[in-house]
Amino acid sequence: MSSHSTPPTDGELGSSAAADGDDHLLTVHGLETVFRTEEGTVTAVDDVDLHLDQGEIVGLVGESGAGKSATAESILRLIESPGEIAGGTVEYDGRDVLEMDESRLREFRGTDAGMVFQDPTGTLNPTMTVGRQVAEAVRSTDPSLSGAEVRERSVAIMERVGIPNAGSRYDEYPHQFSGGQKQRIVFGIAIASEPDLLVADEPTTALDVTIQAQILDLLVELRDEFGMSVLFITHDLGVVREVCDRVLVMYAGSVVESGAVESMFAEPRHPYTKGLLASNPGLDAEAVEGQGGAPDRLRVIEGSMPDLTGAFSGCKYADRCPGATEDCRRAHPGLERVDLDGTDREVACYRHEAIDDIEYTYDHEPRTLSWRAEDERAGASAEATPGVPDAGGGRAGDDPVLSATGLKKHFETGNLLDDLLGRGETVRAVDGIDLGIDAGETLGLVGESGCGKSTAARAILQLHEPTDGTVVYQGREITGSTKAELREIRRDLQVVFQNPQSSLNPRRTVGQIVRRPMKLHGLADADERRERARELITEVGLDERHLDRRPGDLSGGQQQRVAVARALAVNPEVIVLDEPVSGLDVSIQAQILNLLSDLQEDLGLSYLFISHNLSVIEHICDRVAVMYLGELVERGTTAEVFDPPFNPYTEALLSAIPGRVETEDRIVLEGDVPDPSNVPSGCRFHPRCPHKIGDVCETEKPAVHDPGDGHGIKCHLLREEYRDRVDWEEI
Amino acid sequence: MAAETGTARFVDEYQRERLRRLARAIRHNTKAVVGLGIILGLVVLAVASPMLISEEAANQMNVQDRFASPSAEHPFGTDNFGRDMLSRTLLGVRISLYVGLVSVAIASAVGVPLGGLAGYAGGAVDDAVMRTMDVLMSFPPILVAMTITAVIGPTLNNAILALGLVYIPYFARVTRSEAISVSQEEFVEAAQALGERDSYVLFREVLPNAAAPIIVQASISISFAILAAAGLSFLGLGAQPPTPSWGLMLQQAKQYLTQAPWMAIFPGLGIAVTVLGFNLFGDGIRDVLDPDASTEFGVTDE
Amino acid sequence: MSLARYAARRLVFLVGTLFGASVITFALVNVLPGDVAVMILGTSGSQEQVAVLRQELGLNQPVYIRYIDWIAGALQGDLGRSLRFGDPVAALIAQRFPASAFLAFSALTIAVLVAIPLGVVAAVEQNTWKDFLTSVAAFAGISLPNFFWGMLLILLIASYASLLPPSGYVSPFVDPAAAVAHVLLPASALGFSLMAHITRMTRSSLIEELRSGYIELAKMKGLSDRRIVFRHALRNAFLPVLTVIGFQLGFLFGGIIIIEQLFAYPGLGRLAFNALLSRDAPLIQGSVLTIAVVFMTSNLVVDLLYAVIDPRVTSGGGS
Repeated sequence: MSSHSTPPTDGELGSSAAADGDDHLLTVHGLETVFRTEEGTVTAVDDVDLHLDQGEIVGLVGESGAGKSATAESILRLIESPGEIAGGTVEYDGRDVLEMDESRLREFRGTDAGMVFQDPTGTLNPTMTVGRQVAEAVRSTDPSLSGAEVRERSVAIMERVGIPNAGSRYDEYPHQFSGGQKQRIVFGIAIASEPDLLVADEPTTALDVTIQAQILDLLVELRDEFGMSVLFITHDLGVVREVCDRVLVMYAGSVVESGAVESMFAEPRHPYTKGLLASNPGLDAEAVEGQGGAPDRLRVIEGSMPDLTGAFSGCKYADRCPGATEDCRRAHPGLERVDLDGTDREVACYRHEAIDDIEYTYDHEPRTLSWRAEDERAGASAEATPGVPDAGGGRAGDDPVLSATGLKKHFETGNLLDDLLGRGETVRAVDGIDLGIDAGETLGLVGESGCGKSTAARAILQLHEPTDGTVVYQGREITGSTKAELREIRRDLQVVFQNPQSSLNPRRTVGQIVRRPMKLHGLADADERRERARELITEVGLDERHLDRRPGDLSGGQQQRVAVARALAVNPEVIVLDEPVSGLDVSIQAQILNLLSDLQEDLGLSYLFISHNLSVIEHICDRVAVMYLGELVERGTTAEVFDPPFNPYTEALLSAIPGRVETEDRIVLEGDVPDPSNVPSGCRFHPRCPHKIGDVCETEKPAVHDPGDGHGIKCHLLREEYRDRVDWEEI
Repeated sequence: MAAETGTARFVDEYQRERLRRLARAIRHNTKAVVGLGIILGLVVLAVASPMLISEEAANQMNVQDRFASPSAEHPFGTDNFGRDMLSRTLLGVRISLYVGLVSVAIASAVGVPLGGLAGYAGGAVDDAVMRTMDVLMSFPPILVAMTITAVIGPTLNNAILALGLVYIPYFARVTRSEAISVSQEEFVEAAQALGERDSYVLFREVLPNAAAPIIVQASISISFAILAAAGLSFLGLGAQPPTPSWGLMLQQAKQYLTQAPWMAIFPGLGIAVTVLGFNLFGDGIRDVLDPDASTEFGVTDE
Repeated sequence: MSLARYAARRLVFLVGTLFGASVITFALVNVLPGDVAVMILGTSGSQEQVAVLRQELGLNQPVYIRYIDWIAGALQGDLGRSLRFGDPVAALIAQRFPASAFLAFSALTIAVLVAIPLGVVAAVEQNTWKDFLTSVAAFAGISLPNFFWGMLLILLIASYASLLPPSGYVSPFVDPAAAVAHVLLPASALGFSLMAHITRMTRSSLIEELRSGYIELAKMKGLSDRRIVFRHALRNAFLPVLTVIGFQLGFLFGGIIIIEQLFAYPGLGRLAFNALLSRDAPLIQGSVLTIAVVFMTSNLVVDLLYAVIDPRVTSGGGS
């Protein structure tokens, strides 16, 4: 591994790496990359050693800021100012990539290495046809090819990566392809030279889960076909488990643990690895199962990644490590080789022997907000607190707190001219959904991007006026309320959005943001508001000094806590959470999920929780509604819907979650999410459905089957038939 | 985050750190500093020059001294009427700033609310406002300004009014596009979800966050307006003699270019320095404000 | 949506805008305070003279009737007769139009040909002395009025060096060499600020494009720097430049009036300016409308060019 570092005297004589007696295609040693910023020098990659063997897929995993992308870009020398490779060697086939001159470097990139990037849209040149972009890569590999040969090869490559009708789509532009197809084309460009090394930097992060499954399949296929070695960068442990042979865990610029994937999942030796596995609701990681803490809380890593400006003293993880001792503060530990049941493992921790004693716990003391109790006691005086219900538990459980019936929201596209000509299109973002949220429960609304779940939330909140349907809160219809009535109702219905950076006005202080809702609704006088703001900010896990700061100076997790505090300020009954943890790292996501669970328990809140992430939904929700193209396809309790799934779409979504199902059983949905302005006839899912019965799916809209237990499934296959069919297939 | 650990002392340090960072950002931006320096210098000149030089004296013709080249007595030379070019050039500062600031004030006072409304309200309001602006923008701006001043009478104030009207659509456009992008920010939706009134959302949430590009637009429009006003005066459609306006001085210099080039050089330099100051400043603050909105502009709430 | 359909749509919008522009043109002269008859006769005219002239000009009719008469005529190519020259306005404009078109085209060509290479050099060699010099020159370009540059050119090149004629116009169809010699100074003066704006925008837009994802992919293909800049980045970087050109054309066409005046260049700008000075209402309306039509048409061309370069435009939405 890293100990192997006898650089060949001169690469010119071409002693190939394989001939050196080991299998290393790529050996990185002591790599250091710094970014020189005004605040100081950030060491993004700090003395990283890694190697890739022929044909293996190595995962480089870590949270944002871990330095994994900087590592990948340094290996290919794509680091741009203000970044700078400060030291180390990147040995490929006997040569140091970092020492290559320009023309040799171009040759290396053009023929030996390929790269796939995170954002397929930004990676393709928008003003050049995709065919030409592929052809450029082909020609760069072999300049002797004729024009016709280049085209032929390019079309073949496009077909190979799964672009249907590649020949006729050769002259189309990137925007005419879907995100998944664009990423396929980027893969095509990367493998055009049949490289030995492929670097994939978060290639599926920007894609939906069903498309991610397709792309991961493609990656493994291509590896098998061309025998490439792949360096796979990701933040998603599930993806690592799915495709990687080995994995390196990075934290704050350093590799903290590396080893074979399954062994690492089974027996992490570094506390950070262990913490990451524990924070991740989707992973049924055996190693962290059944230890301490409340059952419905995740065990979390406290705090966030340290600032990498300047020099470090001690282990970089010590501040967040539950097992840190005084020894850990002396110096950052180097990687130490451990033998675990015959597999190699390297771990950078002084206390890895004691890993079993290092426990992540999560404790929360139940409490409530002081005035909330007062409000509830004073519940009788309805004038003082209009619209506020009595305490959550006191009501009959039958009636939902908030419900929507036949809710529709359509958008008209096109401008004035199109209106005049009657040419605009109707986007059926939400097309008739029924939802009900009971007091104190969490209802999950799940679906892929573009399915209309966020629009549904906005229509329920009356932020978008619904095209049709009714929304009832506390037995009172709020669709069609006057502005003044609506303002009162808004006190009870609050919302937390996905992007904490964008959901807080950057020009105000946190204190102003949290106090404003109380002022708007006249809930307290100025002194009282200050007092309450202090209490709220503590309740969401921050402290008073944060009140004077502006959102730009807080981390993403802290910003999201402020957004939650703002929602709580008006003492609401229902909070709509629109992808509240999607923009956050796993460890921070776990913190916020726990916070939300605590608040629900303490304050008796009801949540509508919107997410594309089924693992998160499964973890936090009592009941789930699955949405596809503006319609609900299934709803019921979390267990009814997920365990086992009865709707083909739900089943496919679940099976697409990486790292959960054995690859052989996976259902990979073909094609892309259709356009909501042009919905398929009959069952909207039929063009992608793996269990399509026949014509009935194409012509008839399926009705909702509800055997009476509240579990509704929209599919032509009845529940029993579905089970039968699946069983039959398994035989 | 270094800010995770702290005590009460930390609050002060945090505030000081913010100010330090802003100051450093501005200092590091040479363009903004130089621009601001020029503008401040001009403002000082504009205030001081009428105290030192009387306008009557500067307009006093003195035919014996005509076309005197620059000398110790007349550092900028004299013009065709023997007037001291230094005094007249210095008095021109005030006129230039007056033209630039007032016309941009008119344009932004109308354009910013209109654009903000169009961007925030969208739909039919947006269509109505922006199609009107499209029509106004279908003319070269100076052509409309010329026509207006020619019709209502060629005076400096009419020229300013005309320029103010002509630049309205530019402010409306910038404000609208910024208002649209700010309106898509989730904090605007959060405010609506809290039940804030539309007027509050527009004026307290949207527009303050759209300030940066509007300030940039204003700074750059001032320089456009100064250039355009000089052009109008040059054509005789702005300030009238004997006003010491730079455009007018250039018009007079035109006939004596070979004979007395200093008559053109110094007013020309005056325009160049002024316009450069506002351009540099606008450009510089765009660089400072754009990357991170967390500066001290805007609301102090409650 | 095809390019043709996109063009058709833009054309429909253009017609609508044109209608609005004609209303404004008419209103500028007829609705703003100031009686046209008094404007023409000046303060010397007696009340009877004013009354007679008002009658002659049809000023006693309601303003909307006069507008309808005017626009109906304009649609048939009749813009009325010039009060000063007595000739049909349309004929006067047609006569002067080619000279101005040649001037504007030359200015645009000079600006683009000089500015784009400068901008590319400044972007590729960012933060070198070349970049610095280009920036300084560009700032000078946008900070001085075009007529000042014109005067400077007349002084230095026409008077002192006697290299080029300081005034006049020769048709490029009659004597191309002389035409270029005559147009070079006014076109340079007119195009200078456009040149500066294009340089600045080319530089900043190219720098931004060179940081984008597709450049990394191009590097990973092993392409040469030259190919990366010219085949990939420049085409995309040109889009914002095109927007700036469209925007600045308004200033260019406005500048024509001043530059033609300075260089005694017999074009549309001078005609319009003289009409303004002599309060020749039909001629003012005609020339202002003509300049607006040319400006709008050029903007249409810019928009279509944009759509040709960027295929996302014609497909609505884009990515």
